[in-house]
Amino acid sequence: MAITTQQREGFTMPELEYLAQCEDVTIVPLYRMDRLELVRGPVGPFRPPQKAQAPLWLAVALKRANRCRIVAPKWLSYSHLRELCKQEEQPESMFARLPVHYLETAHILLGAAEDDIADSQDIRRLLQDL
Amino acid sequence: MAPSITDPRYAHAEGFTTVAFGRGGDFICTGGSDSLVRVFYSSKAERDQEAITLEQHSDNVLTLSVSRSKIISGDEEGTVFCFDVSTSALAESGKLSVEPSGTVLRSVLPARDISISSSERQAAIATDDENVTVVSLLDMGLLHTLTGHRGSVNSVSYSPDSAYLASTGCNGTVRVWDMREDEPSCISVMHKMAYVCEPGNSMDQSKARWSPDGRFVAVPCSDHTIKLVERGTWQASAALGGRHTKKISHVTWSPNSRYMASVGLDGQVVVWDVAARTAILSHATAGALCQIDWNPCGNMLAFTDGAGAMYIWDDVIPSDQGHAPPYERQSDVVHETVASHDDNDMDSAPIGGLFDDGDGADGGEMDSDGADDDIDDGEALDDFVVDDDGGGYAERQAPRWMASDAPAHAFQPGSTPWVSGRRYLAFNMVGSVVAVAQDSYNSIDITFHDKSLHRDVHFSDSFRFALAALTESGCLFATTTKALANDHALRSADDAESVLSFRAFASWSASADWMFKLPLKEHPRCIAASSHGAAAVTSLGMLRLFTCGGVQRHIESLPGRVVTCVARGDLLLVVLEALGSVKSNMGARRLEYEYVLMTMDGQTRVARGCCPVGPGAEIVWAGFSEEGHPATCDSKGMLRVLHRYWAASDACWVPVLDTRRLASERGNHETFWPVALSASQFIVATCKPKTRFPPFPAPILDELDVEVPLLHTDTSVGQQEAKLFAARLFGDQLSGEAERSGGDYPGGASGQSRDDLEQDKLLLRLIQLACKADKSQRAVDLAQMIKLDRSFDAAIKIAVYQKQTTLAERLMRIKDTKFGSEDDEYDNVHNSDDEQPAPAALNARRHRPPAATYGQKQNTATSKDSSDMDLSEDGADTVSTKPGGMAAAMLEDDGPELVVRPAKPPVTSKPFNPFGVAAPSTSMEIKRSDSFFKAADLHSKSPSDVSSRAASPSKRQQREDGAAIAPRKQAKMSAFQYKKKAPIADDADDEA
Repeated sequence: MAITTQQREGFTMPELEYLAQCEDVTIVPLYRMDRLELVRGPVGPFRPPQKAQAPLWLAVALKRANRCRIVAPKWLSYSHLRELCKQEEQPESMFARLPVHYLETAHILLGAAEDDIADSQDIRRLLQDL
Repeated sequence: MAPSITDPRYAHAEGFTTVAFGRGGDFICTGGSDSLVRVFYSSKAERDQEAITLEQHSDNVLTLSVSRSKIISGDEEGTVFCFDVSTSALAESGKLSVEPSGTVLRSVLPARDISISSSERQAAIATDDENVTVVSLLDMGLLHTLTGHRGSVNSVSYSPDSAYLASTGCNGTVRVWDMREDEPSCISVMHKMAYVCEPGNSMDQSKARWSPDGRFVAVPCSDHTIKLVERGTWQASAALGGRHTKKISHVTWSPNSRYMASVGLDGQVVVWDVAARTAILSHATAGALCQIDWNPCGNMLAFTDGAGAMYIWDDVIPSDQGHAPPYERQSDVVHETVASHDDNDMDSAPIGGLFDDGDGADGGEMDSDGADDDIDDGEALDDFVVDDDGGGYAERQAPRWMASDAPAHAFQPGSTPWVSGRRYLAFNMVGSVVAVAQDSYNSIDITFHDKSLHRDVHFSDSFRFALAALTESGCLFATTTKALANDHALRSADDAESVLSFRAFASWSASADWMFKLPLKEHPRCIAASSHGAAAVTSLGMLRLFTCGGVQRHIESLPGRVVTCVARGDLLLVVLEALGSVKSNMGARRLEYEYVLMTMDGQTRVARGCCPVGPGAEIVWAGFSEEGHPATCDSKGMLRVLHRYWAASDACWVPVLDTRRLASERGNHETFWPVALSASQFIVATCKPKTRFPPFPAPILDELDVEVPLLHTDTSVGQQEAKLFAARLFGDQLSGEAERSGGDYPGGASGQSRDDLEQDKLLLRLIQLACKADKSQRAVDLAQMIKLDRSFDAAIKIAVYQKQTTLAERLMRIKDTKFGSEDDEYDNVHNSDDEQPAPAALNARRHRPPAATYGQKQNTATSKDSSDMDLSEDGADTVSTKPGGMAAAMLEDDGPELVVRPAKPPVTSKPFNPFGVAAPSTSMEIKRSDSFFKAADLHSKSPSDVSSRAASPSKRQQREDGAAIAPRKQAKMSAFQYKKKAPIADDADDEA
């Protein structure tokens, strides 16, 4: 069968990112919007300045249109990641507990909403350390 | 007897050194020319320990002032810092914790003297620039600039009740200011009284001090005497002199105002008996002395010299030689009050109480014997009689002014003080208004949260607006005198006019903006705006109401000083300071508030009354919730809503959230800055520890779920009860507000039925828990609160599942009385031969419409039902476990399963009726669509089966024989049986 070696080995990074886009993130909408009935379930309503949950792909799309701010997830903060790094550095420690798609989510968020995340440079560095 | 004075402790480098005791007398602060502030323990045992050193200052520390929980220090470059002192830490661990808490003031010229008001809400700061600056310690905002001195001001001192402020200038002028008014005024000037000092020379200043009993100001005078200026007359009534040979640099009073101690440049410490006007002790040192302070709770003096050394003088007043102690226990005061009671019956009784507390304020924590004053009575009485006669000092005819209080600090909800040239003028759910200080003007940025609402506004503001109220339709701005006083160009014009300006965002009319100039001496204190108009409360106590277009609609005088006001829709909430002030037994003054809730046209008072705050707390925020509840938040973090305001006499403040507790549970010292209350969520800006105001740019807001402080909210029952309470509170509010304004319930009737259902869901969960715990009475109580009869049926079913047959029976009876009439009415219309009101579920079964009108889901449900029915009719035991399990699973499920959807009525054209009198076909159809009622139906279909299953197998046998069943029940059952077997034709009739 004609599949590439990459495919045989598993998902590629873009594919993983595509999967990660279904994760929910918290956003602060900048525009008022009624409930969106999506296939995966309803989203919203958006009432600024109250926070709302939205799938990552929607959040990124809204962010690109400058219609929302993305709230960085709790784990995507400099202090939290540094704690985890320290934990991992200790001998016989397991991998730190992070969401399944943490790398992909972080990559997408840092790409699309860098201005909403504090210490984004440091976070990039720490993510590589993990 | 040689005075027991310690060896000099060289705390600081050579130069002017300042000293002050902590209010509890447990520590001594010193500040000196090495720009350090040190904190020593004062007790003999710990005195030699290493001092706590505070290194925030970068220039010579010139002044220190200590209140109950704060140390405020000022230095030569004009920076005034505040430190928080935690005395509780001292009690717990023996260690004092002193934390810097912020900058109070940055002046251009050196800060000479600081005085903190007794309420710890204001601090007066004397600087070399001819002004006394009064700063609010709540938000570090500038309150007043007292102008009048010619030349540098070198001392300030609040009277103990903070009603007056005495200040002395370098040219020898003493001024007294009345601080009770909104705009403090100078009420007395005494020229050439105090020393003439060389401006800028720290060692050459002298300071006046108010006595702790509030009667005198001690002013060091140019003839090397200390003059006592009497309160009220503002005349020097006595002079203490003849000892000092050079300038007296500082004086201090003993806690009970009997004694005074002074130090001078001649190196002498002199202790005076004030009543006898004589010096009783003195001590000479080599160098010039700078400052002295009396331990507020003891017989101890601390003084400093120009070499940076601090001395402590223990046991100053030799009480064994017939002198009264320099501080007194509370019992003394009580007795003096009693003694004077004969003279003036009318006055002394209430005043005695004030005195009592006034002393407590100074030394509330001073001695634990305060509580057991009965024991000390004897000795205290002896002392007091002797001295009382001696000096004529004891006419305790305390004047009326003791009852006055420092004015409350008016604020605008959602505003912050200036932080590095920026401040929020308003911050609410619409957006934020930020002022940025520029050289000769401010620039104002209005940012909307909802970008689709309006375009952000930016303009430069030459008026320097200090107040703003933002609504969706426009923004109201106003100037206050404070802002003008800062402006040097305008300062001379004290009588500059204040401006009130409305800026409309979008309007169909060409120029919707309007502006008013207020008369001289009248300045806005706080303003509010809503879609129905605008309001401004001014310093003259005037409430002025305007329409959106700028028509002056109403004016009235308010009875008290305004604290804040806020508007929403057609309602205006004004919070006022109550007229009388009450002091708590801790000696802390307690502020009382009143509120007035009125319509924006000023025609109707909706509600008015007292506005509660926690003990010692102040209101820091006021607003309206999205549902329309007026809400306040106090400085203790308690959020309250004014419930039932629409029924004026039933209005009450309900505490809905304790943010302080929430913060402590989170454990990370965050503080919450209130923004809004919305749909049972308190919207706040979370501030980092140690900051109290949100940063720039606007932070992401957090939502705190409302958590009514009911008892046992850590248990699941308690949580459910709190949730239920909140749901009912906000549900009531929505219907009440709809009734008041004549509008519709938000979301219409279906919205209301949805909310009712939500409440019933919570109730059902609680009933379930009560049944599980065998608490039948509790379940009955809960069932009484159920709103919809459908839910009541569910409650009965729950009782049946939980094998509480007596409860179920009782519930049936309650239902009969509660919903009976409606059911009867219905039944009479539709089914004349059915005398007994039956649970809707039973009706539902009876009125099952043809399956063809239902979707696939209903179809399967029906077929499953019928199969279940078959099984149960066969009496198969296998079924018996199933429904209970289903019910439990359903009840634990928060999901939409329990929500009865107002589905489309399949055959009948009756609209969906939320009030429990639904047409049976409709309600049945609804029930079919959800699993809970499916399960419930299964049971209700044949209650005899259910109850028999609930009982033991042997009993069941009996029951099937009908032997053990109560007659009443039997009747009921027969009705059920009848209904069950009702022919399908009956349905068809009903449908038609």
